[in-house]
Amino acid sequence: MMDNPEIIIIEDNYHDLEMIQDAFRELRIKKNMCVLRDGVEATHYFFDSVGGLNFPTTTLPKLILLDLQLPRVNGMEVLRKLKMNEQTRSLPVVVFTSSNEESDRINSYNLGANSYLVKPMDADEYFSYIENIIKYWVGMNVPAK
Amino acid sequence: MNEQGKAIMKNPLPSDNRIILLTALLIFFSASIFIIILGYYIYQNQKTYIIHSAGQQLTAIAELKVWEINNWRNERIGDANVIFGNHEFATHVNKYLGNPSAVDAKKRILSLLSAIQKSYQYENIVLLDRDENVKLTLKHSADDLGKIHSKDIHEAVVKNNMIISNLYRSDKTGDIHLSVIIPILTVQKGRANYIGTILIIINPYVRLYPTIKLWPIPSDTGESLLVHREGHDIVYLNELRHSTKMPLLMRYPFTESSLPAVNAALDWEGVAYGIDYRNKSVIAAIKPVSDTTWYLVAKIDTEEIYAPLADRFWVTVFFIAVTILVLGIIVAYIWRYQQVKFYQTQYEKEFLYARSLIEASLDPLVTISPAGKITDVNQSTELITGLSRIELIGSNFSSYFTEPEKANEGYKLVFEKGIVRDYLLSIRNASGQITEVLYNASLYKNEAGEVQGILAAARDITQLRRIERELKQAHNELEQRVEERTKELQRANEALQSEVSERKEVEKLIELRTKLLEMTNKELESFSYSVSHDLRAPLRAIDGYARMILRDHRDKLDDNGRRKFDLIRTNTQMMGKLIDDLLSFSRLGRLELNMTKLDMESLVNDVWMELQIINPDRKITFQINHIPPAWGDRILIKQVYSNLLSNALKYTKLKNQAYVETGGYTEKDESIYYVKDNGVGFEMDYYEKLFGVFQRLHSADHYEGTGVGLAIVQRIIHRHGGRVWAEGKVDEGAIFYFALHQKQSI
Repeated sequence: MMDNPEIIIIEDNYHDLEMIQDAFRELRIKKNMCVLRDGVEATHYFFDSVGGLNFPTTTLPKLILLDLQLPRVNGMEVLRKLKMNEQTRSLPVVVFTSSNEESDRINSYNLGANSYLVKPMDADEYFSYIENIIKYWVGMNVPAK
Repeated sequence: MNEQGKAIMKNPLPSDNRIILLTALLIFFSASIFIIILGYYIYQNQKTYIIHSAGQQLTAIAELKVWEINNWRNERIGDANVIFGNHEFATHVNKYLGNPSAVDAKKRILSLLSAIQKSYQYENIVLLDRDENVKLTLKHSADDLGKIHSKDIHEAVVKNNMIISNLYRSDKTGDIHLSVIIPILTVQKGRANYIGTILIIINPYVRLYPTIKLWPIPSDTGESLLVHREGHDIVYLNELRHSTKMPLLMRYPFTESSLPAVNAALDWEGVAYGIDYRNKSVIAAIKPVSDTTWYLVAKIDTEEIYAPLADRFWVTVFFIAVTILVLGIIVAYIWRYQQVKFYQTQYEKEFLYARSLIEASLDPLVTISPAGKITDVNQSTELITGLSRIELIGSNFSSYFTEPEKANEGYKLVFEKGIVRDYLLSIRNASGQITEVLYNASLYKNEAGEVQGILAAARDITQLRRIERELKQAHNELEQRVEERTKELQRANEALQSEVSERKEVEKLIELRTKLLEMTNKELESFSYSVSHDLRAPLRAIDGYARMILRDHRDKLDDNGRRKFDLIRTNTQMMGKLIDDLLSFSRLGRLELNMTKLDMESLVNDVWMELQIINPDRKITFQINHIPPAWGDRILIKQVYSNLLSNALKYTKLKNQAYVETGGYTEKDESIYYVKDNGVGFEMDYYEKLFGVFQRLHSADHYEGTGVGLAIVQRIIHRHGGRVWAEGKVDEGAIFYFALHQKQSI
């Protein structure tokens, strides 16, 4: 069986995904990761039909990168579910979104988001963000450029 | 009138009259007290006088008695003198005592002694020898006379004189006697020789006691006492008027000091008051009897003394009572007189007052007898009828009216109902003038409630009628005017109503438009919001891919290709900035203002510091003048200054001497703030575009920026309810102004 993924990326925008993965490649990060494309998929990944966790707590991921504008169930709802569950509440969740709205920022932090980052327009900046997120939350030794 | 009169008569005394009554009573009582005191004083004076005169009388009696006793004693001494110093007699005695059988001597002695005894009814005369033995006696005596008189004999011999002994009582017979003791002496060779003693024994009942007992004036209780002292006792020597006890047997100790006799024995002389042996209150005069140990007490019962006083007491009481009675009658009479006078005055006053009230009435007042004759009128009646009082009284009342029948009917009505109000009649004056009047009439009764007649009061209503007419006219005029005015109002109202309905329609339209505008605004906002979001994603992707290509395929591109890829990236980022600005601009419309008081000077300072950090290589002269504090949202106003000052920096970048100035002033209820620079300025022709979104007056190639800065400034100031404007000239700089309301006007 495949090792449990350490990084979960919840993102529906294909271009963003490609940019994130490109950044990972550039940073030579070879971790197991899992990409979930919408809120429903994300919920089913973590929880069974009665709200129990789908895998033992020892195999929980190290980071969840969460977009807010998701189809079907939005990112805020996913965040709420993760932070309401006793077993998943300690998972680090970084909200990575294009929304610069004050209300989104406040709501995310209120639900327990560990960080809130607005996707920057500049691709170089975008790369730096990903680099710093991984360094900080996964503690990966990213080789210097 | 009668009811009122009665009420006044029944009234309690007015206060001044009550004072008169009180004064009268006061005079009466004080005078009575004075009379009583005077009477008492007179009575006391009388009493003192009576007692004083009684004392004087008693003193006189006592003196008389003492004088009599002295006389009596002198007589006894005189009798004794026949024997004392009688040599012949002494010789006979000597002879007889030497030889008792000498008959002659005995005979001579006895004859002399008998003669003396008979002359004064002496009880006995006795001859004692030197040894005090009885040698001769005229009468047999049971007593041992020598022994009884031993002390006195001794004294008489020593004194060589006669002595009257004290009263003494016989132990054997109980008889009371006193004696004259005469020592018998013989002279031999010039020397007196005591040989014996003659005792003349006196019965005090014979003369002494009657003398004392005799009271010179008639009296029931008057009494004289002879007392003397014996050790610590007082002894009564004579018979007592009110006691059966024998003389010399009655004695009292000195401690009974209330006894006048005790006072006497204590050598007290004068008038004394006390209680006598019968326990009766007495007055006594006390006198010592010279040459004896005796005191004479003349006393009388105070009761007897006061007897006349009792009569006088009652007489005095009677006179006092009579005087007080007379005084009371006088005072009562005076008071009664005053009262009558007071009521008379009062009554006269009341009468005058009632009359003056009647006369004071401007309405004609008339009293009419049950027979229909006028009994009294006032001046107003005289005036209205033109006849005198004398002419009117006694005449028939109805003859002065234009309608005597109606007047009579009204008159009867009063008797039926007791009262008639506002009865309309017309009086004909003697000169023919007619006065319209309203009559008010009622029955009047005497104290017994019997009807005496009618009191009628007329009210001249000529004036009233005139006013009524005028009022009616005025009323009519008013009504007419009201009608006219109402019509006018109605017209105006109609016009107004149509106007109102028009206005309502307009208002509805405005409301509708406002709603529409609000909806459009909201739509616009959500539109710009979503557009901005949706626009960002593809731009990000473009930039991302361009970057990937530049990184991964750099070697496959020539310089021109790389330059163009760089341009793709620059433009996408530029567009990203535009979208960000658009987003923040649209957000301004939704933000809530957090109003506080703002220190504009420190706010400007902060902004300037931040700008200097961003532009460290710019050399600019920056001046902050006085800036008044403002009332607004701190973050937004800071944004305004940030935008204006950034603009000033931006458009002065080509100047050698860049100059920026800020300041403000207050005008009326708003504060005006400005930011001035000496930059490139602008053409006033394009002023309209200055504050538009994405509107630029200068090329983006020369001056970076999206053209949203001033639009944001305008939007913030408008949201604060303020104004924004600017002045500029090409190459000479620009001034941007904004005005904010002061707090009290917001």
